[in-house]
Amino acid sequence: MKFTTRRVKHGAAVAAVLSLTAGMAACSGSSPAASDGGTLVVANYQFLEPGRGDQLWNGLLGYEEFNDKATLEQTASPYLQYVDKLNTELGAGGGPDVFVVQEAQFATLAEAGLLEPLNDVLADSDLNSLNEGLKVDGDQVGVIWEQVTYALIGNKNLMEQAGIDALPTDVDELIAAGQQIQEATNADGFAVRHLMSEFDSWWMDYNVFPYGFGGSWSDGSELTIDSPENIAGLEAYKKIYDAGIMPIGDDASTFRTKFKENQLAFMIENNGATLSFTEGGQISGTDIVSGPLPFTDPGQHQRIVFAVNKNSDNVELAKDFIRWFVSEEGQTAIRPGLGASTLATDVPLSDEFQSAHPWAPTFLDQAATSRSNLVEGFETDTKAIMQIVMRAVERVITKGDDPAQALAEAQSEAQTSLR
Amino acid sequence: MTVSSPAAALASGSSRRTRRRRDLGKYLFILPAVLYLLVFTAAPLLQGLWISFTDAKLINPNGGEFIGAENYTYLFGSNAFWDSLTTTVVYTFVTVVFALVLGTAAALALNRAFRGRTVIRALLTFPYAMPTVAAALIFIWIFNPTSGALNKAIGVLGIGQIGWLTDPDYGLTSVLITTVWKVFPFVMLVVLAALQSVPDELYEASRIDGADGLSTFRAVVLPHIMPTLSIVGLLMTIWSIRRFEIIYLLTGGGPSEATNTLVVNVYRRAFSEQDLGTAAAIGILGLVLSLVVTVVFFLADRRQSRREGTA
Repeated sequence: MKFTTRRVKHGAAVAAVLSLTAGMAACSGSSPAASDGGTLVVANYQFLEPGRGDQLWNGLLGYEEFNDKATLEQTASPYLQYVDKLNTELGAGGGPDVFVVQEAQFATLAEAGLLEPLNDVLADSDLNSLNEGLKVDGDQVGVIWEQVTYALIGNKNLMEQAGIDALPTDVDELIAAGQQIQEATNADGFAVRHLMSEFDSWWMDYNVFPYGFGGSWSDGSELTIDSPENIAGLEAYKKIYDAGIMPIGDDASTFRTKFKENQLAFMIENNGATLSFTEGGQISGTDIVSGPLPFTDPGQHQRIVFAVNKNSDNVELAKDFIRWFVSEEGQTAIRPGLGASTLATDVPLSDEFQSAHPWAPTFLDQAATSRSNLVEGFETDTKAIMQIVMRAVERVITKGDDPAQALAEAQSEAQTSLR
Repeated sequence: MTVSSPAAALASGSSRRTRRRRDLGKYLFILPAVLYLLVFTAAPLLQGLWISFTDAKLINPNGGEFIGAENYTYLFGSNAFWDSLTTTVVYTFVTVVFALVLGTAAALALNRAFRGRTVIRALLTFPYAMPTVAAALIFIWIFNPTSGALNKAIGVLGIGQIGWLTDPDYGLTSVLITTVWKVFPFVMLVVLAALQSVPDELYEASRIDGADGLSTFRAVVLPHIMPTLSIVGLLMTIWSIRRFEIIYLLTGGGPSEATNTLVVNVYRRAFSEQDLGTAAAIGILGLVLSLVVTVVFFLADRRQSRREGTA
């Protein structure tokens, strides 16, 4: 066949018409009803956690029995990539149908209008007060997946070997106990995140320290990064970092494995991670002891939200899934996998769980006073602010910068960058 | 005034039509490649350039408003940006120099026959063949301050523990060690191929003239492989400016920004701070740096060619 100008122009015109027709066909039509069923893609980084991930997924699969025309598919990536991947997908108009997000990310997505309002499916639900904070202009755009709190946990086996019969109650006791552990057992004394390569998790864990000394990053309208309380928190963090009881250079994956393998004695951890330590290692739930944080003031919580993608092709089915999720059936199904977390409704821990995990009640006790990780008044700028703060923290622990000066510089930089 | 006959006019018209038809065929053949470049290179580049003049956020990439050169003004006034540019230049320079030197030395050693040469060549190629993520993970373990092999080894020599990836004084060094280890085999393989083009007679003549190894290398080998070294140096420079995965996996740009190159800075601005506008501006400035290097290279190469009378 010879290519002539006329034939090329004719072919291009036909291709354009076909493309336009296909595009119009794809764009036409609204989301199918929930009763029509379909496939829902559910995203959660926790599906990758050993043991717990399968437990969570199996709990959610209960919806397939509730709505036998629905099929659930999971998608998961490690947390460090999960946030970036989800933001990129949602920003491009795609992404999973239903997903979990941390509170900071939720605020950004809600402000961008990417979350589907759920008012019509939650009217008859028994949500607790924690869900109040997930409303935007009166619309409930998410429900609590779980709210995790932080506590000091100890490896009972190592504590017994070193002759320690109670958890430390302040920083100096923590350092002394960590040194005692090292001398008696050769294991590491204490661990907490400290690497910029884990920024997305580090800044959330670090908040234990400034909050523990009564600090906060803003007063609701002005940033207060360099407040005396925040400086005290950073000084305590540096004191522990320099004490020689931490495995410097270990990421969370490594030192958490050490805890499971009786190679690390104390951690400041959240209850979700603590539950995962009872699977795939050398310890069980009864080998973990827990107690309040070794500070004067309460710590923070991580509020993880379950939300529906406004651009989902199956919005109605996704909303029906949320309706089931917050029902007694759904909350009971998910409870074992979420351990000592506070859920969307006040479904209690089972007696069986509590006896297998005596460390759990401490975390539930923290929930009454724990504080949000979001910077009040600057919710959608939280991550950008914490980038600046954590760079200052890193300079203090690695270069020995003065904490007060480092936080003062962070205050100035944050005020300038919020332009 | 020239008068052409009707027959000549008819002949010239059909010749033009034939030529147009032939040209159309050629254009159609290169059309897929042009479309690919337009769609996957030019269009994203232009979009990135546009975004660099807006306040676009990651969560709404198309919703940014035009803010002129504000992002660029902010960067030029930011110490952090100049620090990341300096880190990029240092990282690139050291990587290229060491990779060229080590790669050339390895190629020279492998260019002569000896027992086990094939095995050693395979072993030396191994770092380049290894997936970058796997290499980064292995070096994270090697560099671990408390349990890493490197600190264990230097501990035997009486040197104390070094925070290879946690001490700002050593962070960049550690990243450079990993990078050079990973990339020098590429230089080795290319230079080894170039060495095959050196005529044996020249080696013979050099030997007869009584030249030692170093003199032979300077007078005979180096002039022959210099064009190859130049091109490899240019490629290594561009790749080093663009390198992301090794640095980000090892240090995330830390400790204390010691390894925060332009590309790592782009990633952190875009995904951690969700500031697409500033990230795009940094990306454009990084592109300008690569283009400057490329232009300087080709100008130097053209001047050299003219001097040798081979332009």
